[in-house]
Amino acid sequence: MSLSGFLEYHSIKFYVIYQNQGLRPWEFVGIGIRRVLERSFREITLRDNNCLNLNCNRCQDRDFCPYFLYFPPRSSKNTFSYTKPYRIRVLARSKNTCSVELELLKPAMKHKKVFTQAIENMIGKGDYKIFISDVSVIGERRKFVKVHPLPPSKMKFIILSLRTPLALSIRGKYVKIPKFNYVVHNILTKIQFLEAIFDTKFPLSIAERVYLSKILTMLRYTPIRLNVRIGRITWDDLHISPAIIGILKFDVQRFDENVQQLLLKCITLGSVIGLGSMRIAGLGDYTVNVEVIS
Amino acid sequence: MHLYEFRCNRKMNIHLDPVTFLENLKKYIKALSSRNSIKVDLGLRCFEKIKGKIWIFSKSTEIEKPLIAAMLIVLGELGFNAEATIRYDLEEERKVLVFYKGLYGKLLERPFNPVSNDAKRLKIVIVSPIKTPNPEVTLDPHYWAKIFCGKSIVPMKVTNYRISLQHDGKVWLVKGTITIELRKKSKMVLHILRALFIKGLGIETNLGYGFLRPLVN
Repeated sequence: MSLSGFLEYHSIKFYVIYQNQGLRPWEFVGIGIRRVLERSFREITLRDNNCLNLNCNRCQDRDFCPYFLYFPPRSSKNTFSYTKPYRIRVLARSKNTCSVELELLKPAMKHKKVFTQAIENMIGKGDYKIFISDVSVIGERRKFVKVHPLPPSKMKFIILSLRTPLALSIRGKYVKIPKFNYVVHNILTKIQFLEAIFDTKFPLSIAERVYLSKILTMLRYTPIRLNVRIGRITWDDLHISPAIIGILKFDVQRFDENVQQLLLKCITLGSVIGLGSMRIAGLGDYTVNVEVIS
Repeated sequence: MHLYEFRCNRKMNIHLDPVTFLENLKKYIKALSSRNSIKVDLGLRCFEKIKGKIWIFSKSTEIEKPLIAAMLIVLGELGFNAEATIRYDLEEERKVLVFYKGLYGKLLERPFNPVSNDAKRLKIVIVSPIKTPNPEVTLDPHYWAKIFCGKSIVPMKVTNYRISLQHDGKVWLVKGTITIELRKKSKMVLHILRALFIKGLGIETNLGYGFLRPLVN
C-alpha cells in the first residue's frame, strides 16, 4: 500500500559493539559500519547465488545481482554508482558501542531480508579501523514521511540542522558555501538518478520539477545564515575534504506561499533520501525546521 | 600611513553623519595646529556604535597631536569621553602605540600588541560588512595568505563560520565571525592577520571591501 504525498521507507535498527582499531574521536563510525555491511552482504549474495565470479565488473549476471545494485565496486567511475537507495544513520555513539539505523527506500525494500541477514552476519568482520564483535537487531519498522508541507502561515526561514557532515569541496581548495540552489539541485539530480536506476517514483510531479529547475538561478541569491563547524572527512577516493556540521538558515520571505511550500516539499524529500554531494551519497543527513513570521 | 582607534566610554547611540563629523574634526585640527597651511588628509573608516569606537585613517604623523586633541573636543561636544587612543602603523606592523591621558592632562604613549605571538585560536569579527562578488574566495584564509604573503600553504585552518550572507543585486554582503585555529609556525599567520587588521580588505586586493578584526579567543 502506498499513500500519495508520503514517502515510505523501511527502517532496521541495530546495536553494534565494536573494537576500536585506531579510529579517532572525530572520525565517523558510519563509514566503517557501511563497509562491513557491504562485505557481509557480498558474502551472503555469493552464498545464496552459488556465485564463483570474484570480479563483479565482468560478471554476466550483474544486472540481477543485489550486491552489484546496492554496493557497486568503487572502481567504477559512474556517478550512478554513488546513488544508493539506503542510508546508514548512527543514532548514538559511545566509546565502543553505537546504535545504528538502516533506512531502506522503496527500491531496496524488496531485499530487506538480505539486509537483515547481512546485519546479523557482520560479527567478526572489520574494516576502516573498526572490528565488529557483536551485533543485535533491535527492531524493524515501516515508516512514512509526510512530504505535504502544511505551514500555518508565511514562512521566514527554512532551517536545515545537519546531523552528519556535508562534504563541500572534493577537489577544490576553497570551502564552498551551500547556497540554496546547490542544495535543491543536488536533491533533484539525486531523485532523478534514483528513479532512473531503480524504476520508482517519488512524490514530486513533473510540473513541480520543471518549476524548481527554472527558479534555480534565482535561488542562488537567497540570503543564507551559516552557523557551522568545519571538519574533515577521510574517504578512500577523496582523501581529505572539508565538511560542515551545524545549522543552515535560508531566508525565504521574498517567495510566494506556493513557492515556499514547494521548496519545503523538496527539502523534506531530501531529508529522507540524503543531501549528499553526488560523489559521496549518504553524507549530509539533516532535519528540517521552519521559522514562521509571527 | 596610520590608523587611529578611538575608544569611547560608552555606546554611541546617536546618529553620526560621517561627512559633517569629518568636516568638524578638520576644522578643529586646523585651529589647533601651529602651522596655518597644514594639509589634513583624513579618512573615516568606520563607527562601531555598540562598542563605542571610531576608526580614522591618516597619511601624515604631523597632525597626530592636534588630531587627538580635536577628537577629544568633538567627542566631548557629543557627550562622550575618549578613554584611549591606539595608533597602528601600516608600514611596520609592530609599531603599535597607545595614547592615554596621564597626570595633569598629559598625553602619554606606550607600545601595544593587538595579537599576541602565542595565540592558538583567533576569532575574526567582520566589523563592517564585506562586499564581495565571490564569497567562497573571500572567506578562505588561505587566499588572504596568497594575497598578503604570496604563499598559499599556511599553518591555519578555519574551524567555525558564524556568518550571514545577503545578496543586494550586485554583490554579497557578509557579516559575522570566523574562528581560526593556528598551528605550529603561527608567526606568519599573525603577520597576515595583522596586515588584514590594519589594512583591511579591499585596499589593493580583490577580496572585496570590508573591515576585519582578529581577537584572541
